Amino acid sequence: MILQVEAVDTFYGETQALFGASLSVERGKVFALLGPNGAGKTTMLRSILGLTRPRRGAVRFDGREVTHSPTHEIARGGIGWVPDDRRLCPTLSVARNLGIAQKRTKFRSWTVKEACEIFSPLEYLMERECENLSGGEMQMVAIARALVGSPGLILFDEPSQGLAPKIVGDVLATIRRLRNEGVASLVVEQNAEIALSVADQAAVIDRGRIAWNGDAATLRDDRGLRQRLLGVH
Amino acid sequence: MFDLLPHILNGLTLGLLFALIALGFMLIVGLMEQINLAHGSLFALGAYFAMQLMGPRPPFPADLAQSWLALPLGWRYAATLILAPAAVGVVGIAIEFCMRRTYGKDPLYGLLLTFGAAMVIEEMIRLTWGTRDYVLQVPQAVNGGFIFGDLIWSTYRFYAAGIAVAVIGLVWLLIEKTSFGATVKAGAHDSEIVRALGINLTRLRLLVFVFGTMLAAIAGIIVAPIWGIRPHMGVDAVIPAFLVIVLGGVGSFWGAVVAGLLVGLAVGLSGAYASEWSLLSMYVLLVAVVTFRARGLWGKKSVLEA
Repeated sequence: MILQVEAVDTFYGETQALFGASLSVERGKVFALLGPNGAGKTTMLRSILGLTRPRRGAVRFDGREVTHSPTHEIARGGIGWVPDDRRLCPTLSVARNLGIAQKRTKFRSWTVKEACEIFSPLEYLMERECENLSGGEMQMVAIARALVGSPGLILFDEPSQGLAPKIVGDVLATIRRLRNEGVASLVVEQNAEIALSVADQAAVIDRGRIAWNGDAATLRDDRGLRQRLLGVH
Repeated sequence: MFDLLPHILNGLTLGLLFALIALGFMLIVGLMEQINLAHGSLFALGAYFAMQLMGPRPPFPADLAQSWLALPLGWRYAATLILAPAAVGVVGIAIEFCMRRTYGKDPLYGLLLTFGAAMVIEEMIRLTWGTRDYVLQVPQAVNGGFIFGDLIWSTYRFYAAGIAVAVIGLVWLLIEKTSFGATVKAGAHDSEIVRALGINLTRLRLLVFVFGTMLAAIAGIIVAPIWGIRPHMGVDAVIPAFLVIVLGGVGSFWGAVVAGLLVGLAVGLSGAYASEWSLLSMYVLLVAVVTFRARGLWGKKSVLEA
């Protein structure tokens, strides 16, 4: 297991957002965390990164407990993050946004050039300031930024949100490609169909509790189960 | 017109000094969104430290002091330009440690804290050096004057303006052209993402703050031979620094430089016609700018406008 989240309780002030939530991501595999808006998906990612620290429970990455580590140390261990609103620095160029994210970890290193080989349009956008990019371009930069940090695991927060279908296809192809390169992904999505099409494992979260956990294929193939857990689809 | 030339030149050199004084202040407000009201006191502290180092009783053990005093004046001055800002940087570390808890909160907390720090530093200066005026010795090479046209020009003013240009250029290179500068900017924009990229933001903020305080000290050392060294010199410096930042637009590097030159010209030219009004003109300008355009000439948004 590259990531183990064990029974975490996470709060925003006095409001509890996660209730004993657990999940494990295998090395080099894709894990889909599904659930409606406000179920606690983003909170799970924030808990893993230590941005919103769990009050109880444990987070283990690559065999090391990181529950109380500072965020930058957790990231340096080899976790990348692609936030739902991308969060690029708008006044800096693409090259600078990627440059400040470059780091070495024990996992495979990615140079800016290698990241550009995955997203060929990036090459021509390098000197562009990020505030002048389209949504799809921003998503490419955000993923490339996670990659040049040489991660063993990338946390994707709603990667399909606000993107054209063609670009969603590119993002999914990238997640598959990273899987082939041995980079694990934890994909948080409202759109179950999209996430399940790339996932090995999946879990469904509902009002802060993990409601189901198992093989993605099971959920993909069992229409009735999907309907019961996620409503539509 | 030709009569005005000395005043224009005087105003421009003064403006460069204002820009130099504002530089560290701008760095901290632009990159950390903190108004460091202790900036002026750190500026004064830089001048006092330099004066102590250059004076007859350097703050070293006896034998080291002897060999220090045996060095040529120019060498001691060059070393002082590094040692005094470094010592002020240590004070900056202490202030930053106190300030940490205010990050991400209302900027008013940081403002009050640094106001307190300013008072403490100024009183420490009074306790240590008293209220008398001091003079900072400078090497012969930059002292005295020269004749050009029919006028005597002060060599030191041109030297000071040259240093200001060099320091402004170096700071620009650092924040615009290096990865360090990009990281600092990204951190000011979105601290969470920068931490999630693996960057130790706590250390980065400390570095920026200390760098800002060291720039204040350098400005103090450079300006001291012109304005003299006294406990109140910090307040005399923080007002133009504030004016320059607000006029230029918070966070705008070249805005601050251009505003510095404008303020310098305003003070220089008003000095030509009514010297007793020249300082007042600066304060009037500050009130006018905050009243009518608090975002300044080039500011996107201002801490003052929230």
